Amino acid sequence: MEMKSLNDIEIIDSVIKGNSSDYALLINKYKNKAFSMLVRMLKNQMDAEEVLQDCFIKAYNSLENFKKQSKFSTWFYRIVYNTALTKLYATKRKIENEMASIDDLFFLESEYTTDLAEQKDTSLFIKSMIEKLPANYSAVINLFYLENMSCEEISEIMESSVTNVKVMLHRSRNMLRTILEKNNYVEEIL
Amino acid sequence: MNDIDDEKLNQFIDGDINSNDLKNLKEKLKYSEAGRKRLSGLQNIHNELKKISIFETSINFTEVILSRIEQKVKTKKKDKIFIISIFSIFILLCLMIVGYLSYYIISEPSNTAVLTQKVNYYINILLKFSENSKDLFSPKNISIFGSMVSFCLFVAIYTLYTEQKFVRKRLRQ
Repeated sequence: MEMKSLNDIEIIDSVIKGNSSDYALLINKYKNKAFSMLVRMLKNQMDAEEVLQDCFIKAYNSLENFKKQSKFSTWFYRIVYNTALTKLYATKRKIENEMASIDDLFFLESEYTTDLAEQKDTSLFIKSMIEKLPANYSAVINLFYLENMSCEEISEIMESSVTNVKVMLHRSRNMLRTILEKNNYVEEIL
Repeated sequence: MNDIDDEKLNQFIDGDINSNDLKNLKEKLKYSEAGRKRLSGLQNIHNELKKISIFETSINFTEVILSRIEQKVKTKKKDKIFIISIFSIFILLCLMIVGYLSYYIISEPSNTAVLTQKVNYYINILLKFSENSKDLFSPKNISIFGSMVSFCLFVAIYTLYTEQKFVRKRLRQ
């Protein structure tokens, strides 16, 4: 039997009508990318999985309030982003660092000078640095590169200005490039 | 002189640059090796970021959520049934009392006076109680109690408001 592929709105309509098992389609569609974003924001896989479960349940409970003018992904990622921030705040991590202002990214530069020599693979090195970006910068990188979202959509999710999102994106790239340059990856990367 | 700023280079990578700026940038890049290197570096970072890895949730992640949802739906149904049952019992009791009183009044109309007497009796008891406890509920005590409650409410609301404001401010920075 050929399985008809449903779009997000059709799935939501079906779930609202009472076919709650159809919600699995939405979960399977978004779980890994949302999980990646949460792991990078919270820096902990167990917390990320727990938060993601809560997010899917929150979304399920609020499905009837979802206004179909915007995309489900935007709406869902807003839940994920806000829940992650709440978790960060609740676990009393240093939110000042996590929600750092633009200049605070420089602390990462000093952090990576010590263990860089051990990392030979540039790609792996960049990936390891992304894992350590502050929460909001990680969120921007994930949404932009994993979800292929526009800066406008990301600004809607983060309830921030488009300019601010672009600044975070550009600063992240600049910072990564600067670290690579400082640590003699220049020849390889350029 | 290094007059190519990173902002423009990033805009160029994102295709977010207007035609005039693009023309200027291309012109500057022709004569700036350092600028070309910086652009190349950013381009490489951009390409590496496109290959960012995806983490996978545990195998039974979907099932866990669905079972949690199912459990919640069941609990909600149970709660609904419980509330309906309590409400039904209450309505039934009210109906029984009204029925009994109606029957009592209709069957023995002469007893209306007795009923009134009984009602008056209970009202008197209530009045006596309020008279005895007039010291406790004196205007002075009531105003002190009211002021305390108002003060507590005011402090609680103000604390909640400032806390929320602080959190929002932090989160939006």
